[in-house]
Amino acid sequence: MIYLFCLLVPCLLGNAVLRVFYGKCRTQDITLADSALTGGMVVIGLAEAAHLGAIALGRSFSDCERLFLAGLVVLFIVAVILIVAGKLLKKEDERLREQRASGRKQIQTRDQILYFVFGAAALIQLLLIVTEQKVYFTGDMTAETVNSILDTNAIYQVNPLTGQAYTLGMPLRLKILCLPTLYAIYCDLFDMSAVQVVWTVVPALTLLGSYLSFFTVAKALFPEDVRKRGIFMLFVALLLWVGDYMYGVDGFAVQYAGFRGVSIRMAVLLPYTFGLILRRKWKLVPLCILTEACIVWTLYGMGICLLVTVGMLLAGLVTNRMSNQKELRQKNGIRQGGKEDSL
Amino acid sequence: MTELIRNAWLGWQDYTEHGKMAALLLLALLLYWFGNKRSGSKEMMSRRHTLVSYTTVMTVCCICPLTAAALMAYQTKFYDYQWIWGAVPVTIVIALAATQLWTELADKYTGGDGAGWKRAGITVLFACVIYLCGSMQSAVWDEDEAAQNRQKAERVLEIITENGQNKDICLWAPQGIMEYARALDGSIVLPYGRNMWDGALSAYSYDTYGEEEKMLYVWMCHAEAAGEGEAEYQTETGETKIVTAAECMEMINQFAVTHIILPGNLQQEVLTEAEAHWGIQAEDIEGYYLLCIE
Repeated sequence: MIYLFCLLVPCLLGNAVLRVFYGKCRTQDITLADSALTGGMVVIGLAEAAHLGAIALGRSFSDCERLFLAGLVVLFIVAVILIVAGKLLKKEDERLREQRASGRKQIQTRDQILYFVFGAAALIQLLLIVTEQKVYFTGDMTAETVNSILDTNAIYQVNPLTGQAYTLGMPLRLKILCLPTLYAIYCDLFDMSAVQVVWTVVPALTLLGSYLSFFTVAKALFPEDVRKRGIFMLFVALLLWVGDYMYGVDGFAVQYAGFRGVSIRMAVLLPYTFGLILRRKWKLVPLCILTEACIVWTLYGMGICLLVTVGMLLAGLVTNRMSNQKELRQKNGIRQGGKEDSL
Repeated sequence: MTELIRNAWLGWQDYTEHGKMAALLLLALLLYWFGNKRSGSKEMMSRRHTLVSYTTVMTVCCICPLTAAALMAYQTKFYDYQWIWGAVPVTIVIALAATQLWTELADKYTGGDGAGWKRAGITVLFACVIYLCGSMQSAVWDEDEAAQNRQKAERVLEIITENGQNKDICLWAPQGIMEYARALDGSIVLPYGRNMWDGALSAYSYDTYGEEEKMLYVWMCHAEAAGEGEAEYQTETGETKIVTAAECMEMINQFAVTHIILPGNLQQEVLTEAEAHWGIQAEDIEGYYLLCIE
């Protein structure tokens, strides 16, 4: 049930957000993956708002949960209205359907095999995460924090590691991060333990989110080539599988620490940021930057997503400029060659 | 700054010690810059060029200690060196290079006899190279021991909460039990938490532990390791003090401990002393001794 909720609700919310941001300009390279990932960021943003509201106003966790659910219901209703209104405006959807139909190519059998093997690899990884529950929690206290929130019905009133009241408190820059509160809400909504949600459900969702993010990159790099997209995703699956040798590497983050903010940033937000930038979907990039600030300790809100955005922008400007200069030189070279010939 | 540069230098050594994804990334970049870049439309070439140019610059920045230190300062000192590599799309670029190269090689063997076998051979070769640059499925930490500890802790805590009968439980136990106590049951209170042995967790709170908590931890560690009732403790002033079981029993009172778990290899006289102190019989559970002193 929790998996359905965490997959369907973000898809719906994300779809609505994409309609708002791109409306009539939605093109065939905005896919269900974009909806799911955008919706996921919206859910985190909503959790952050509820979390900050509860902390600032000194409200209980129950009040925070009610605020989150109220916001979710409002957004859900707005999303449904936007989607229904969009469907009723037949012109927009007809145009989109025509674009998608013309862009869609028949996947050949050998390419289907690629996607099948990729799917099998991803499924095995998912099953391993869910069944083995191999969790690396050194340096992390998310499960304890969630349990403390559920037990005391308050956010950060007790030290999660001991269960005793704080004497000196905790850093504000950690206090404002919303993931433990979001996980506690899921525990309460679906009557699950902190260990089940934090160490099983969330890592499974992070793995799925990660593959969706990498799929958007594949779409950006090989928009017309289904075969290369499949090969790319297969290599990504292999790299994530074997790249688990050290905490801080993609594969490790996804397989053993998917509940941590840094892992969600590394495996989901950053690949998605690259995917958006490569496809020039700039309106969604600030969402990634803001989401990172909600789940990871950053330098006053400036994190790796912002660094990547600025870096890719500069790289794009420089490479375009160099490319234009090269073309100009080639054109001048041809013209000079033509003049010499005519002389 | 000197400390950051030193951490950046050591961090790079550590980053490349366990796996070779960084080497694979450098290989991917070399393949791109010296290989055939002309495939696909102008727009796609531009995208790949932007991505790889950015990756090249950031890779150099992450390797060079000065720029790596700057990146570490930017990401805040809360995170270690390896997290700056989050700004480098390692997986994306390696997968991109592998895809391009595999496609080029596979297309060479599209026709003719044994084309399928040749493609399969190329695939196996690629998979082997990637596998050898990764973990090769060797355990990063002792996963089996961690799983066993967790199962044991679950069983012990289940017994304790059943015995506790919904009363407040404050538990003092060996590290292997206390490690999972708060994660499995948020109602259990501990005199000290995981940050006693996991220093990274100390960044999450301004609270610190007093000498009593540290002495209790040192005594319990020694009791578990050697089964003895006396442990050596280094005070903050540098003196060496002997912590006895009797002292621990006195210190426990100020933390309102209700349940004590002692290691199963503890000397009989120490156990007898503890039982006599509280006037209760220790219960044997899962290889430990449980004392309910509520």
